[in-house]
Amino acid sequence: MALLEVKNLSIFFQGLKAVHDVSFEIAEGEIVGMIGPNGAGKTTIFNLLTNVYEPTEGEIFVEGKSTLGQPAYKMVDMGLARTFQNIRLFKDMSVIDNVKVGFHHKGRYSIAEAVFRLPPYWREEQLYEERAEEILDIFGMGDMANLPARNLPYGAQRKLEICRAIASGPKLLLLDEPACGMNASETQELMDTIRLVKDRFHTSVLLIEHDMNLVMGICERLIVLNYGQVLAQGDPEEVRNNPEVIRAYLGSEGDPNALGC
Amino acid sequence: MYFVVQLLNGLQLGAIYALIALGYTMVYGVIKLINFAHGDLMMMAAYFALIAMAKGAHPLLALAISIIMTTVLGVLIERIAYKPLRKSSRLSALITAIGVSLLLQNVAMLIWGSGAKTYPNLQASLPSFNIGHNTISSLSIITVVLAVLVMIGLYFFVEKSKVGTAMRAVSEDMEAAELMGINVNHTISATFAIGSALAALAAFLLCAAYPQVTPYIGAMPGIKAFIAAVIGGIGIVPGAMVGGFILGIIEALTKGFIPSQYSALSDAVVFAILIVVLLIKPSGIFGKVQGEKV
Repeated sequence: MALLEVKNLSIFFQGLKAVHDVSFEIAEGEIVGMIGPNGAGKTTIFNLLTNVYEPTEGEIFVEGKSTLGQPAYKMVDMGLARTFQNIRLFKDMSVIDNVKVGFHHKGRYSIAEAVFRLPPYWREEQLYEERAEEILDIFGMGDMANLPARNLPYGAQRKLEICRAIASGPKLLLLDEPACGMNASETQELMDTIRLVKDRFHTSVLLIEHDMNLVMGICERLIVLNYGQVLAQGDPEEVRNNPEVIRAYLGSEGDPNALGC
Repeated sequence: MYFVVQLLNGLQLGAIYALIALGYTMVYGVIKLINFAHGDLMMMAAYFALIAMAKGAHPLLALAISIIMTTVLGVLIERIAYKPLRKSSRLSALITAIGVSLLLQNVAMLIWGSGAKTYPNLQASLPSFNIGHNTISSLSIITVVLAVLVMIGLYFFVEKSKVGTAMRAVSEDMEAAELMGINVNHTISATFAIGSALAALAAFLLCAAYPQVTPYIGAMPGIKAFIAAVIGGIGIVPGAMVGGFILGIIEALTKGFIPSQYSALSDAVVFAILIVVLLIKPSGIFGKVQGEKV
């Protein structure tokens, strides 16, 4: 059974077919890239996957369970975590508090316990503090734990978003243009981070990206979207040489590395 | 000595303002709504405690009952009146809050009448002591200590606990918080619950000191507590506390030291201070100056 199964997914915004009859699967441990020109519906699909939007048609299954009708915050419980195209950290909070937000859905103690400081509260709080430190250490951000998130350099903010998402223990991590605005060396570091996510946390990754170096360097499979529909799926080599993809995505002739985000 | 007594009166009054201001500030911090019904919620709490005591409940039991009922009422108001407007403009929510405020006042008038009801004299049952020619009630000291303890507890709750972390996350980016697995509705309910419980405590302490209840007792303390929250920096927990105390002390000292025929001036002084603060540091004493990025 696939980890994620998207079946005939469509969403129409007042007649605009933003996503139309899209189907794909993601297996456990896979790193899949989703590419396509601007406006192809990539972020819309992320918003559908995390139940920010309700699909007009079609259904999404995580480990065989339908996500239909679940509130957005429950998607984390189902194993989906995401980052955002424009970084959306809690900037006034410390780095470690940002990571601890990722644990939030796991807590079972009540407000009363928190107010009256009962032992289960302390035990759990202590555990999350340690686990958050551990995650930051793994990603090499341990020494930044107590800084306000807004003070981090750009690349580190992107990384912290990944840490926060990983803290929720996802089975599938959705990265929305993680390399956007990064220079070459930052992108290189990002690739290491994504591999770390896969190897260390056994998390599948679905990423939207325009940076072809990153996409070709790290993705095991690509899904190409155009005008809200799947144009092609397959391994990077296959997709790169698909004449239809070249025409739709790059123009008839063009430099595949020349695309910005 | 007279000065010390007035100062203590000011601290007592300030502690009550501070408790109410904490409710304003918590709600504003999380959903950016100035809950103008908050003072009237406090008024309802005063009636709840009064009824419980009239039925023979011990004052502390009456306080507990009042806290529970006020909390439920506060959460219900959020669910019914504010939640449907969460995605509307802030102005719509603000006007709704004013509507809720008037509604509560009129409901109270309908149920309990517009006349003043006398609160049991709780202060008399507490020990008092003399400094020089002046008597000081231990109620003043209890009020101040209780308010400070509550503020410290609340500060650590917001900064350290997981629910508090969720509140801060929702405050910064509601949608992102939801996508990180935070139940936004529960978090906002928790915020209203805490604010309402503090209002109930404030009502009890207020009526213990000034033992009269009318449907309007929430209005003026509500506005002053709001001013206290703004002076301290709205949305900031310690700011509400400091703002409350500053306001209470200034009010008590103006009342104590200007001739009694001008005592109504004390309110004018309070509002004048608000204007001064808004002119000099609009974000309040503890508020961060928000630079606008262009």
